[in-house]
Amino acid sequence: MFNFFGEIKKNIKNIDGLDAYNIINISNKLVYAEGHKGLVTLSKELVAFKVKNGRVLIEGKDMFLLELTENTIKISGTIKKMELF
Amino acid sequence: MRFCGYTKFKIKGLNQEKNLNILSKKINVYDVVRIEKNLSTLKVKYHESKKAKKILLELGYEILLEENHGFSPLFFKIFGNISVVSAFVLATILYAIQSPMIWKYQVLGQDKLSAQEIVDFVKENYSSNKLKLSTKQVEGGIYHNFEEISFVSVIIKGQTMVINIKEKLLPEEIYGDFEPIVAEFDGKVKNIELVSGTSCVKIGDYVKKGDILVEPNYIDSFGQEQKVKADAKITLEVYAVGDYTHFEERVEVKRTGRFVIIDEVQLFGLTVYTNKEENTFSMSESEVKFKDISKNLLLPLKLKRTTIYELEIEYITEKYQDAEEKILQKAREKALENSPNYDKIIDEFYTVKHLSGTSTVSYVIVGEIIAG
Repeated sequence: MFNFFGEIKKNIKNIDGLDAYNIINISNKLVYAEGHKGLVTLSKELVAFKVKNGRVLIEGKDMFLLELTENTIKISGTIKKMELF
Repeated sequence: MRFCGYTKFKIKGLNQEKNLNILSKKINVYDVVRIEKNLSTLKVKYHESKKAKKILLELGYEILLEENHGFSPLFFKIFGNISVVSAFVLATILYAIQSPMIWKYQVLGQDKLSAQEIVDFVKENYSSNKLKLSTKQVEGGIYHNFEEISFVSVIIKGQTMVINIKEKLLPEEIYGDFEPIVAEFDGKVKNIELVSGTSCVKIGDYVKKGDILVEPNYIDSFGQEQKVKADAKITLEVYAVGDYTHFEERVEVKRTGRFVIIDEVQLFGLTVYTNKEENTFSMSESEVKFKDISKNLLLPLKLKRTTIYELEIEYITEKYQDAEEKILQKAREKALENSPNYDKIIDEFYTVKHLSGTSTVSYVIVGEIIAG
């Protein structure tokens, strides 16, 4: 099956550690993440989830989880800020 | 998800994030909205709803709302019950089998014709399957088979065939059964009032029982025989005879008035008790009667009562002249027994034959009977 992230990684050969997680922000309306390690915080203004070696924190408005599976997460709403620490 | 259907849960409980992680490892969750700290809504696919509910309850959540949406839940709600499905399938099959059949026949407008006769004709000659049936053909068949019908229409209404007929207006005398008028008794024709048909007898003729008096036809002006209802008023003179023989010297056996009763109690035809009375009469006659003692079938005891009457012989000498009135009365009674129900009694007479101490009286009653 075609995988968008897989196709990008094929073309980048000199960087190691690209297999931890993938996050994509679409027009600040949707965030899609692969390889999450668990939801930490969920509210309409703040969503946080763990990834390998850190946490992702997303601030916004009227946010909700469009989809939550074992390793993917889709967050919908108005995205204002996304941080990794 | 709309077609497959989904279930929306509204849950209340602590540690929502942690528990959502646990839930998402087993099933996919959608549209998770955190309403309050301990209150949120989420959706799961319909076919995973039972599993999701079980997990949520195990995690200690209180489920405030559970709603099913989409086509799939509706389908399973209707067809999930095997008895409902069976009944639906059976009803569909039965309907498919019986819907093209005609189960009921209704005949309207008949007066002299028998509705059953028309129904039998249709059943014998035409299919009861609506798909193989032409109402035009049925109409034609009925019209040609029954001469008395001037109009017929056939319609199929549901599973009923409605046959609407109109009968021809035929004169009463040429309609119906063309049966001849026959003599019901031996006798002499006294009068004939012919209405329709052809008379086979004339006044003064003697007829036997079963003889034809009036034929149900006539010859028209073209010499052709035409059927017509036989109708006539024929008066017959009928003779009824009663014989009685009187013996001037005779022996009569009479009961003396003495009798003995022997009672026996029986079970299955075997005597279990008797009162041991004995018949000591030199000449006797007996009468036996049975009566149930018990009303149950376990011990069907019966009482057999035998009544023995003592008889005696009496020698009687009685001349005819002394008992003539009584003898004539007995002969007349016998004649009346042999006579039909007369419309009118015309005459009565008798003859007596004397021969070697015996006298035989033949009593005759002459009456009138109207035939036809």
